[in-house]
Amino acid sequence: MTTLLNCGFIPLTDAAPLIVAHELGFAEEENIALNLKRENSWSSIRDKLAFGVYDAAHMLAPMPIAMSLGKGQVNSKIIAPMVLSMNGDSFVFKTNDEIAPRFNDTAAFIQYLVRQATNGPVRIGVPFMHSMHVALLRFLIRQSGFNPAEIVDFSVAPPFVLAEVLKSGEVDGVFVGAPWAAQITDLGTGTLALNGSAIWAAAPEKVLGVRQEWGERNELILHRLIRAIYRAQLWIERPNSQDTLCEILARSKYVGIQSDLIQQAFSGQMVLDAKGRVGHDPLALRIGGTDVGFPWLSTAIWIAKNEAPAWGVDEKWAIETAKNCFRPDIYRNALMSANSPMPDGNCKVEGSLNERQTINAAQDYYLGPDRFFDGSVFDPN
Amino acid sequence: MLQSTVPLQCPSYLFTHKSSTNKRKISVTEPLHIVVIDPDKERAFLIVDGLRETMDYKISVIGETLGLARKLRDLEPDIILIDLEDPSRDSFEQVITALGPSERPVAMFVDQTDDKMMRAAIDAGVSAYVVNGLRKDRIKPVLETAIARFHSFGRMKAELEATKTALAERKTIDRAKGLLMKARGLSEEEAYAVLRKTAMDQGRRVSEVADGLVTAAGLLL
Repeated sequence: MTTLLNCGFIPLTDAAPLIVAHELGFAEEENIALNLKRENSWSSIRDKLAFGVYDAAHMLAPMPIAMSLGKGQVNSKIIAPMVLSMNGDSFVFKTNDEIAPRFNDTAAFIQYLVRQATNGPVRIGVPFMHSMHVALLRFLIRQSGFNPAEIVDFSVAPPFVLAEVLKSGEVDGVFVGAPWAAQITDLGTGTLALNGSAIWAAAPEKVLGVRQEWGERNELILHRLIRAIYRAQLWIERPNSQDTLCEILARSKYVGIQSDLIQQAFSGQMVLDAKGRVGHDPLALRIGGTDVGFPWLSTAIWIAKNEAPAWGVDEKWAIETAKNCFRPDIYRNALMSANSPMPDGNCKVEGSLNERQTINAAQDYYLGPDRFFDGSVFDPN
Repeated sequence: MLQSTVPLQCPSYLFTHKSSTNKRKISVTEPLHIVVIDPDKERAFLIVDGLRETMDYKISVIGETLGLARKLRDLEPDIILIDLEDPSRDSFEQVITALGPSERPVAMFVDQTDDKMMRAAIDAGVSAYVVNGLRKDRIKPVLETAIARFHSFGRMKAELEATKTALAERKTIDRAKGLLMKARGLSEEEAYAVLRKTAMDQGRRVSEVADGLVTAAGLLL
């Protein structure tokens, strides 16, 4: 029997696994009718998931943790049994007379940011406060020896509005997900300086969010959904899928932007400014492959530990909550029948892989690089 | 007693008659101050109207979200109502969180144990933010009224859309009939019969066939 699942998403390239699961029939194969609803704001996604309008949702990785901690207006236990994407956020400065820092050079970027902040914090537009955008930028500034509150001042607007916010001069720069950074450089109103991948090469970006209670009541349905999305991720990884995928995403009911702008982050060839300079970053956005979906507890702990002070919550409590939010156990159970390769543990030392590492050659199972910008490691234990 | 009147002809700016005292305590006797954030003046009118019928509230409308933080700080609302689908809601949430997080925290909705009420609000498309410390029984009528008014606004809009579509379709059908009458020398009734038969044969709506005919004629002539 077909199960109808309502699922909200924000028009972003990293909603692709959900969209592909629906459009290419991977959901149907699992007897799921995925009813995808495009949303205008993360607040709306959060509320509709919390109160049962949605069964599942495209969410920023910190959102389930923040929500489970009762932060951000709505108190609801949300779990993330699967990661939908890694990386994908790009930092774009408003085009000005100063020479922008070299692309993906974090040291030059920080110097530039600090210099800009001499007369008060630099105003940065982000899509939501409980986001990797905010967590990564604060991490970068803190690890470089500065106080984030003195360097940056965040303003919030939905990703597809940030181009307009930057143009209006309300902010000096935006940290925004694909493809909206490409839209800004295409319009010539900003200069792309840094991808999130340069701060952390394997940052969980979006997750599949469901209510914990719903997940427990609908265990097998959730497994089917995870399998459908997993197969969508494998399809996305195939080299000849890219063109088709970009065309699908470009439709107005999904992302609603020209497909060549969507293609940029996928291909890792990103236009940096109005002059047409191109930056190369193969890790700009990772949506496909066998290693993206696994919800590492170590990444959840990283988010909790880094953001707990700013959220005003006790670190230990935040970490405990985060460990209950990311659910590798569900991911494993769901994919057991799909014969998918799995890591041995649920935690890893983040930042230890400089290069892609093959775990199981027979199954084509590998882990992508997960280095931090400063070469530090994060040991969750 | 209404302390403010809402100039609905011009909701794009903010107004209030309240004298601003910074450390206002929420008292039971003072009327609740409700701020409605809505760029749609017709809906704002409906909500304000409904709230006035319900109880003696002080109501302010914000139609333009520019400078929202300052406006809200000056107003010191007890309850804020905003369209759930409004794209500026993420910005708005950051603003209210920054208003005074420790002193007067603002929470979404009233009573998270009342799931039915909240589901009703979400279905209606209302989000309500409430300054902590307000008694639930004082908030409930506000939310109920807002829910009812959002629903009736939705219905009004749907009716208007339907009427508009029907009118546009009738116009197209009339033009298609005219084209057929002229080109094939048919009577009006015969022309309509041709359209209807074609629609039935192709499993389409009469208006779609008419639309196709009008478009084709526009291209050919």
